[in-house]
Amino acid sequence: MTDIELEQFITEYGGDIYSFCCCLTGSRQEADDLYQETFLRAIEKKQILDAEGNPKSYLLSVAIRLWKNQRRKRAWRKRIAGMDETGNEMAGTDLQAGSESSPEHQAVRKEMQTAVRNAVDRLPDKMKVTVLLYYMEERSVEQIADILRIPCGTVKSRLHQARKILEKELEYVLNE
Amino acid sequence: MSDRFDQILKQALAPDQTPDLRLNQKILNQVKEREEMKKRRKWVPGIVFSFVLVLAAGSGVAYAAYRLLTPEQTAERTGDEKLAQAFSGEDAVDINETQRFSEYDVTLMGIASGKDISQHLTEKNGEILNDRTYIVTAVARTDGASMPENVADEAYGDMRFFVSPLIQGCNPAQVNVITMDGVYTEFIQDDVLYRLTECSNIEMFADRTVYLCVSDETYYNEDAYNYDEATGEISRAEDYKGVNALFELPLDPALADPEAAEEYLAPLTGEGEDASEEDTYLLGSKEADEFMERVTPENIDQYAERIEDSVQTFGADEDNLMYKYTMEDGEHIARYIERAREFPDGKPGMSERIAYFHDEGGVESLKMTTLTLNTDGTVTAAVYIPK
Repeated sequence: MTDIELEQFITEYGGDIYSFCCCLTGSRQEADDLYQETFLRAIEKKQILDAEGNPKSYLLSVAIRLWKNQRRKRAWRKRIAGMDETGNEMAGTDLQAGSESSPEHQAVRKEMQTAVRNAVDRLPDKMKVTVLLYYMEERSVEQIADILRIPCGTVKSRLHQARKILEKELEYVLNE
Repeated sequence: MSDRFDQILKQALAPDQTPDLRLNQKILNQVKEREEMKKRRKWVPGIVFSFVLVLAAGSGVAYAAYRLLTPEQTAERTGDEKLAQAFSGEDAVDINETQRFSEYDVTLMGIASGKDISQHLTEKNGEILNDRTYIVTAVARTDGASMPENVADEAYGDMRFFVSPLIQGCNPAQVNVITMDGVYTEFIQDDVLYRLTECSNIEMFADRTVYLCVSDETYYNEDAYNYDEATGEISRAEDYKGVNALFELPLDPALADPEAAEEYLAPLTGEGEDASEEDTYLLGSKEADEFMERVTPENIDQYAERIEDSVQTFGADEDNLMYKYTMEDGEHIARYIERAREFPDGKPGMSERIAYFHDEGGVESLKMTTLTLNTDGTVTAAVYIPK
């Protein structure tokens, strides 16, 4: 992999992986560290990145492994809800552009995004990671099973349980 | 589950962060530095031992049978003659049991325990740890493919194994080689990865089942094993796709010291980290739900106190908007206000719908939001916490 290829590689996947790291860690500083280490580890294994496989799934699996390890080491207990020092910028970012773009609707979408992200962050780790892979990174159930090395049934079960919890937590906010 | 809910989750969680360009540049620089470092590294080849290929009797399938180093030779290879002697002594246990996985054969070779049996000192906070257990394991590829003998080889970095004793009755996420002051030395010879793992002396646990796990990943892998809280037994997760070897260590029950074991384990199990977060969360959830079943608009003041700072009143003409409040600890509380839903009959008073939020802390972490329709048509929102 040449320097140019490497740069292109980081440019192509950087945003998705960085967003994932932000949600996993709940802190910009920790996300920076995790993102950096993820790419360094992945780049060390050039043959995997050069392969015709799925580099994004591989990067996600590396990020998850590193995060789990770091988390155990540091006994992280962060909550996006409590991350004012570093995380306001993440909690308050815009939703994807929708058809309604008045300031009021944008404000409601922002609030909705914050509420959803807070609720996802409060999920047990196993569910949180599965939810982020599915909804944020748009991995299929089969790809998630591969990344986490668990059966597809377990992925479906975690998603189902997570959705039940999220629906309960977000009931009032979502105004269904 | 509605498609709309799925759509909301997708929208709210869509990637929207971009790394700083300087961060990307830092990665590129570090990659270059590491490349330079690799070029400077050297590897001193070890002693070459023989390797034979035989046919498995009756199976008709050829597979590699490895003439492994003995535990004694493994210790010698790490430069520890004293430990080598311990492995050849009467108190050492030769096991030589192999478990096969799709990519790797994992062999538990032997164990030796005791005080001052190694010439290599292990220190922790200035204190010499001298009562230790040493375990030798070997990992070889099942397909006979070569293993990298050079630490500078990229493939070397791919092989991450977690080798740890596990104790019946102790949650492996809490009690494992890391918390038991473990260290290891490893080397590759003749396409076999040898690892010499040492940790606190495990003989004190000999009246229980003591296991040895060898799994992929660098730390204890909860997906690879099951821990039965009721019986304390640990087992392999049968549907796990990677390496999850589990051996039972043949320790002499006469060496058990339950009192010392209890004393040793107390600090490890006292404040375990996320042993089972889902269970903890569900327990917390159950506790919070039970608490909230008792709370009504009429009696809420008996059970909870209002955070006065959180009180906000919205005008009589305001509807379909978001109430939000930030707790002292930074937690954001939000609630959507829709008058028709909260006050269907238009009568003044607190809405029957008391929303609540919590984490695995259960009632202790509980926050409630209330909406009250006032006689002048305004709506007051507030956050309550349990008394």
